[in-house]
Amino acid sequence: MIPKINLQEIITKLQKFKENDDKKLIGVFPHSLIPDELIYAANAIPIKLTLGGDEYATTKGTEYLTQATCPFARGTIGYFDQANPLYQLLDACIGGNFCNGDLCASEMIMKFFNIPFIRVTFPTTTAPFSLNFLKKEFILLKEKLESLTGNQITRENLYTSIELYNQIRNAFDNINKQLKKNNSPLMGEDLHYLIHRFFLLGPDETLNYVNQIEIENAKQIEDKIPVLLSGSGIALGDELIHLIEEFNVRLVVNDTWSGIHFYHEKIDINASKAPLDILANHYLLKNESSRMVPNTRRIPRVLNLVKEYDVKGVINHILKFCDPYVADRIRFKEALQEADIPTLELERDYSTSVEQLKTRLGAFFEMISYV
Amino acid sequence: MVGDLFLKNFLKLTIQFYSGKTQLKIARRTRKKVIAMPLPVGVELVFAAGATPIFPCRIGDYSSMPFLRIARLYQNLFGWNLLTRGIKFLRPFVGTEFFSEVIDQFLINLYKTYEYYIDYAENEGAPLDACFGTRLLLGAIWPQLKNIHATLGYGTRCNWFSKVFEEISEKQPLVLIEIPNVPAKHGEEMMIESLKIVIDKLEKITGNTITNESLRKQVLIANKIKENYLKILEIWSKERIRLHPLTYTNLLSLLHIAFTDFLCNPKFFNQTLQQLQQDLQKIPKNGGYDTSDMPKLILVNAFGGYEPHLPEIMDNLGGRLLIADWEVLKVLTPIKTQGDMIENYASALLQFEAAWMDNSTLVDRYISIASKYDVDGILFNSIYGCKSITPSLRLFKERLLETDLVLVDIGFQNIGDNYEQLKTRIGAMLELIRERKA
Ligand code: SF4
Ligand code: SF4
Repeated sequence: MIPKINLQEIITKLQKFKENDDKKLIGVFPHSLIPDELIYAANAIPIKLTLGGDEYATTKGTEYLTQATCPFARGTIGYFDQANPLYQLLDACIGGNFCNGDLCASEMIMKFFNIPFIRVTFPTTTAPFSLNFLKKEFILLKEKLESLTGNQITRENLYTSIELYNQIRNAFDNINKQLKKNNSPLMGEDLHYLIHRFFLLGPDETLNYVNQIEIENAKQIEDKIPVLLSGSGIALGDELIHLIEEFNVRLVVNDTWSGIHFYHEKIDINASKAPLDILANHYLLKNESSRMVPNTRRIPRVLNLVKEYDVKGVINHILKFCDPYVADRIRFKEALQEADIPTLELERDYSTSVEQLKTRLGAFFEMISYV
Repeated sequence: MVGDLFLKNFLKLTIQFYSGKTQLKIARRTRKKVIAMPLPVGVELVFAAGATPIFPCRIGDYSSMPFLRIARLYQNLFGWNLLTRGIKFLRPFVGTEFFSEVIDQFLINLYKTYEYYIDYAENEGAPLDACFGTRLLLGAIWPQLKNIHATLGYGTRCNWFSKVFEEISEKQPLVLIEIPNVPAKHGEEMMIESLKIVIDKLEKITGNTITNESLRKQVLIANKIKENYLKILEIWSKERIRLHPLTYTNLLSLLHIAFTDFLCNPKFFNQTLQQLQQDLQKIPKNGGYDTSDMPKLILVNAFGGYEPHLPEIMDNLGGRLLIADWEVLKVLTPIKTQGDMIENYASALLQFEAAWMDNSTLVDRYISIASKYDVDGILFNSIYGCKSITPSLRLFKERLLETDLVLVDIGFQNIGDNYEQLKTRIGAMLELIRERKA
């Protein structure tokens, strides 16, 4: 029920934001590492570098990185190389060390595409010293954003920004909960387009858009097998969710950066704490990705979501060479086996043929349909 | 022919290298805790905690190696000090070639044992697409869990590497040194705090206290080791060298690995290195090797693993190979010994991380070391599965446009995979260098 994303429409809107509202557009690696709230508080729009799934762009990226870099990071470079009109609009980029893909692609963007780049370093562990360190990284990020945009980030506008983002989180969470209903008119693909819309247009546009969605009156879709997907995120342009839902399946939880990682946990707003402390706490201690060492959140979260959404099967989605999820594979498999949850480990890149994907998915869905 | 004094010291290192099992026994007997060391980073801390650091690949069963059997027998009978005499004694029986073989085959023999670890890791579920180094690490540590009390791990810029330690921590205690790749004030603060926690964990594991003094003592000896190591690298770059160039490269290969845990005994390691470097400086009149027309290449990088036949291929093609990762990564830079040792050590760890904080910096480091040793080209070891350093290839190529250095990209996934291709590619590169020089 949510239409596909029309990139031209997005580009036109962003151009207007730039020209009419004097907003800076800041490209951000899409993993849950950089606090969008801070960018928004600087009167800029965080634009997630979320395009992917295109084999040609990935191949282009191989000219900069290597085959052993994940296809998503290579593709990101490829879009810059091809002067993708969306990425051409960016005034600056922020990247970091989420993973080797992010680290190396960030460096290449900085080096070859002549775009101001802000690097944010994330710790490996969640120890107290890591938290102090991250707070200081966020202070530096704030200063750099202020100088880039020419706008001061005050305590007040940062609180406002955090509150607004929490509203968006709530909105997404509520929509996601609609998928629990057996006859929900929404599909996983709807949520996929909705979140990517948000990733590209920022919070203001998204809130307006979400408020206009009329779920109640839409046509109900019944008797789908509820499935959860966890692991590497699904880029905009990657047709995996569409392929999944071509079967008699509903993707009720997308447990990746392109899904609930953004909205699963709201930011705890405690007025007695400095807003940058609040952000550092949230982004470090409630980081839903698998990059942290040790990564203690993923398995319990998935097990809870499986119960909450009455999930019949889990797809562990691993983009080839995606460090955090390749590393997690055995642990994840064993934990789900132990909990008796049917799981399909789907390792792929953007060149994996649709037929091959369909065969594997089809066999898995058939198997869980009898459970 | 290899000189007896050199031979003695080389053999001492080799024997010690393959004595991991014996060293574990000694550790057990003396009630020392054993800490697995994947990199030489943090080794002084382990010694200061009164524990035995060990590079896990040294713990295999090497007892069947013929030269080891002979050398050990002799060492047990007469001790290290008489080893030179022993060599003289043994030469007529085993033949002169035997000792040269021991040295020149060191790497190939070693990597044969690595194949076992790689198979082990793969059979136990390590990802096939992972880089050689991490497959090797997992395959070497997993079968030794009962012999090791903890592993020293690293949270560095390579997230994959950090995640591998998480894997290890599932089965064994892990002491993770988190090293931020931010050489700024808050990076220093974090490093110091992280180090305090590492020290605390090591103290708990060993039951010993790491004092400022005990750490200083270890750093002092480590600094001497580093100084000797650097001298050996420096001597390598000279036109006239005492050893056959292939033997020299093999020495560098041995040192590169042996340095990881100072072979469990810093005093011994330091003495041996000192004797080696002194010996290497003494070139007899009419002796030694003139290498002036041999192109020199630096290997980028060695610590992720490389084709063990490389030194031999280079030698057959008339070239020389430099392995200097630890200098590139500033691990050979002496650590300050005055004042607060935690602060000094923290700043050394930060320096290490800063040397490869991003690929542009790493490229600069390799190029500066290449020029320090007057190297003609880069042998770029594209390690398959390496998502962190291998992607620096494009940056290398760009950067080399500003220098006279040439580069050849050689892939590496598994031992012996592309031997013929290596010969062709390196051969073409050496030709180019010779033409340029002519
Ligand atoms: S998280 Fe995975 S897919 Fe995303 S950039 Fe990193 S390695 Fe690539
Ligand atoms: S830097 Fe490369 S070779 Fe080293 S652990 Fe990381 S991926 Fe492996």
